Amino acid sequence: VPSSAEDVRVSESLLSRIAAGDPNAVSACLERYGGLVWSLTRRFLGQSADAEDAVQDIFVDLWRNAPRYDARLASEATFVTLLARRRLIDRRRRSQRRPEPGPLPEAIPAPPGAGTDRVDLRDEAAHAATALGALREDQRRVLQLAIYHGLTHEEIARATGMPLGTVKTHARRGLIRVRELLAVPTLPGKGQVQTGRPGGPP
Amino acid sequence: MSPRDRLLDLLADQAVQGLDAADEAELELLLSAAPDVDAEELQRCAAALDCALAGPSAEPLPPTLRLAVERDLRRLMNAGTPPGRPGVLRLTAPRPVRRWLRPMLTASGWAAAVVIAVGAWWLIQAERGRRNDNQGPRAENRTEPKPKTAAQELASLRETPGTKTAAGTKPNAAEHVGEVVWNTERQEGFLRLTGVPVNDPSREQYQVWLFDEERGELPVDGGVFDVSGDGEVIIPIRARLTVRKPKIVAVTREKPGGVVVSKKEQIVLLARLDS
Repeated sequence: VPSSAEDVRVSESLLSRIAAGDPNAVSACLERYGGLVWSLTRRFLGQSADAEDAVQDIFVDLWRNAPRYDARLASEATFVTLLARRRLIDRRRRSQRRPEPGPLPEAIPAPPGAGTDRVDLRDEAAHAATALGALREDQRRVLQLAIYHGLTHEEIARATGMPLGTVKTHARRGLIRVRELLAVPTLPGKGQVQTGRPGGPP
Repeated sequence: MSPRDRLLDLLADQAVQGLDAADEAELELLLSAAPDVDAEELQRCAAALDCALAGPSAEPLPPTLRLAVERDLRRLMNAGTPPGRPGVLRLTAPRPVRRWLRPMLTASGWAAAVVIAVGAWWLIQAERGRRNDNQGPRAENRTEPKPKTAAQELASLRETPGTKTAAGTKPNAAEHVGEVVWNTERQEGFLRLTGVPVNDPSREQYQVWLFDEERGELPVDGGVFDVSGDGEVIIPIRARLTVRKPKIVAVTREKPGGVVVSKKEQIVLLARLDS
């Protein structure tokens, strides 16, 4: 994840370079986002042999979707993560191959970026961390288990003892609340509510 | 619950853990009546949260995998396929409802589309309510339909019009090692193999190739796979590029992660789709 203004500037030019067919952008893109995609894939698919295949699919998908990237809506890291998550969720639903469900709630480790005062995260991620910290404890816990640990609603219900309906409600309300908090324009030029359906898949 | 609330719930579910086919269809209906809604906004929120929770540290991409990805991307560039080419881009399953509704979404058709979408949504809700009534207290714990197994998907593809089947043999054509089932229109296919030796994925992997009459001599990569036990295995073919006139499908043994151009030194299977 880019950590400085210069990194951000360089980063934000990468997908447009790929969209323009710049062959040098391929190496730069893998350098910058290879670790992000690989870590995300390992979290979703564990050690499965499917993981490497998934990473290749994700980068081909990223190459195909590079022209859709809109810097007004999200950082490049968020855009890459969005595409990767979508592919991984789809792949996992189709294959039903899953890593072992997470440990019991009292033993669940905090995600590495779970703190709300991180200064080494890019603005957008730091803003998201702050929004997460502003949620109710139950909502935050469910979203961490669902988004970071990749557990299904059913697995979260089993791990936490919450009723399934409650888990779904916390995930939905929590994410919608995060959207509201991210829409507060505390960062110049960021967090505006976007309407319309820019560049959605055909 | 209003259609708008239901739409938000579905978008949140989609962003967090994906939707089943019924929910996807319902989401399409609701979105078609809500052109002001940014369908990806909650997915962006989930992605931003993911980045925040993961933090800046990341496990580096393994060098061999990085090389394979880089080769994939360079080959796409060299093939002259522009990024985002219409017809290639497909992030989700086809959306028949949206295509069905598209002609109506003109200025004069908006009101009718909204009425139909909301009406259809209520019908879906009524049907779900009826099912839930029938299922009683078990409704909360209903399980989603299981995705098809590879064998079921293969059987389904066989029934699809336009699907070709070809026997797969070793290069000397003396020994039958399976069959290839391929559908060009759907760009889907399977290998059904028997008696293919177990491989050590850390040393070598099997790689599928599709020779396309329209692409000349350089075959299209169909993905790599492993064989972990005796007996029959069914492998989905994942063509990296669109294959329009497939002639031959081949399986070779290559280094882990596969190669861009095979030396064809260790051919495991050949199947002629054009015979």
